[in-house]
Amino acid sequence: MTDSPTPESLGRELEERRQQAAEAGGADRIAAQHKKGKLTAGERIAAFLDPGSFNELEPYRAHRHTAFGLDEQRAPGDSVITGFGRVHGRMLAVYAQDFTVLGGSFSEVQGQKVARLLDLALDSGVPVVGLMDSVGARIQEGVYGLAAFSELFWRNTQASGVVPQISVMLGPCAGGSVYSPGLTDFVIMTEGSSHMFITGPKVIETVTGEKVGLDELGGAGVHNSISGVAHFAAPDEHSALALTRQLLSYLPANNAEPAPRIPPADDPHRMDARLDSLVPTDPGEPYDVRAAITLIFDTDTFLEVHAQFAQNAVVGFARLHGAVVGVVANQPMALAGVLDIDASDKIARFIRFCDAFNIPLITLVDTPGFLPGVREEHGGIIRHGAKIVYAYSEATVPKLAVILRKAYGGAYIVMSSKHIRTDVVYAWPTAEIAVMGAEGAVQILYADKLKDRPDREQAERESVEAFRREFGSPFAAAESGHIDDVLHPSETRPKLIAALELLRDKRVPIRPRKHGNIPL
Amino acid sequence: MTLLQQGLIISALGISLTFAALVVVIGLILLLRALFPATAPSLRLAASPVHESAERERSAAILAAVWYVRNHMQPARPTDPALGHRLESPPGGYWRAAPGLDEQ
Repeated sequence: MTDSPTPESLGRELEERRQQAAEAGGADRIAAQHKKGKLTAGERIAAFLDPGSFNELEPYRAHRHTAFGLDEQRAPGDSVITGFGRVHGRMLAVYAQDFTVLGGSFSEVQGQKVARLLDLALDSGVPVVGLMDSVGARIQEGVYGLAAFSELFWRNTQASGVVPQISVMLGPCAGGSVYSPGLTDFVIMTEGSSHMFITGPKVIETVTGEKVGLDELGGAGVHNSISGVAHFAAPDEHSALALTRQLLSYLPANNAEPAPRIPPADDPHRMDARLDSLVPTDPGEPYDVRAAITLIFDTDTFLEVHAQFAQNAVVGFARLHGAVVGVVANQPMALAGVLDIDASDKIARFIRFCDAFNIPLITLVDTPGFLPGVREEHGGIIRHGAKIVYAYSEATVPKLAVILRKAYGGAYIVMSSKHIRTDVVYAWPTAEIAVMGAEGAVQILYADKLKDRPDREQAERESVEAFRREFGSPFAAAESGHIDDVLHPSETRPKLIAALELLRDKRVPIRPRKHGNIPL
Repeated sequence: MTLLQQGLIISALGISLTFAALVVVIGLILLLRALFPATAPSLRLAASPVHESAERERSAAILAAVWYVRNHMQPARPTDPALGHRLESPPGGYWRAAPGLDEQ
């Protein structure tokens, strides 16, 4: 006759099993992870969430495969920890790949656990954060692993635009598994320790003969500045997790909620006189548009997204009297603020995120137009530039724009002009709204008249001046109703707050359709 | 007549004309002063110009300070005391979340 279990013995067994699950990979692998300067999955979740708020799901689930010695490598919870918890008191779903268990490889069980978490998050309307650190698919599981990937990708797509999804890259992410972060709204990478690529350096060398290092191929620097796959870079894991918490403070939990407000800490009437002299009257002279953003929006609230990618455009979140807004601006400091392929993609994607999650858009315009050149035309600048028009036209959130200086040609139209249903458009006295810059226009309009004149340079200068007199001020556009008002730059903050108040409850009828066909 | 003589005569004529014009202007001034003798305000010029200059500088400094305060410390136009209040409360019933939800 065996002893029947007592409550104490059952409790002890539970504690032992919890301990086993917490150290699933074994002490050696945990030590190896620490030696690399990396946290374990459990430590990451603890560092990320509000203290004591984590509730794990399915911590004992293990794989069922036996091939290639897998039967001897079963760990409770398999290679991922899933659950829910709070950040700044707000609920979210979180999963962390556990590199100490079979390299965090993406298995059938990992796929099922993460898929279930996404289902719960979607049903509950809470954001999903993935802390990624994995060698890729678990090859030993064959097609089961691939099927699990697919389930996750499908759910990432279903969740897109419904709940915010953030991927924090804290280690390698290779092969097909990169498509999950690729489908999420924001990707945050740690410098030095995280890498993303479809095919690694060895395969590339075999196939194409190109020799390339890990960082050079898919490091945080590359994906933040060249490919645009990543939106943020952080020097270490703790900074990456802190940045994720900061980002979440700007996002609603789902697409049915307004973005979170905080009590305003800045004077809504503040009119900073430095704005009045910020923009040089010489259209060729650069300035940093981030200075305007800093002075207009609530102090220290601007969080720039994609800061290192396509720097001729600036996008990010800020607050205006405590309310979250998405800021889009041209950056005259980089490429004179022209719109090129990368800038178009960057702007369009950000607009669509803000629109999906009820975040009003405020656009600061100073662009001479689209970047001319064979490379741009052959690269499809028409298709990419059209994304901006599409995104702004499609967006139904409150849309405000301020023309700071140059707004020329097609770029004037696409950068949140009144014609694509921007609700309120203001201009500063330095604004120039024209089909093109004065010099270019004179070359086209007066080419025949000027070519034979002995005083050609003088005549050209005079014509440029005449063109500027006509279009070099915002009043021509104001007279024709193409802008709503001309402001002293220092008045911009209270004017935007007032306009945002008007549009707080904005609603726009949407024609029923399956979905639009954005030029991808 | 040599060129030198010609030049000298022209110079002499020019100088004579200039002085004649000067005499006329001075005469005119004297005539006007005789017709309109100086009155009391002109006496003030004799009073301590240094003191007056300091007074003016002080006035100018006060004026400049007032303008600075008016232009930089205070709003240029009447402000709306309710500015931002509407943003501090959640959306009203007219607000609609992300498009598409109403159709579901």
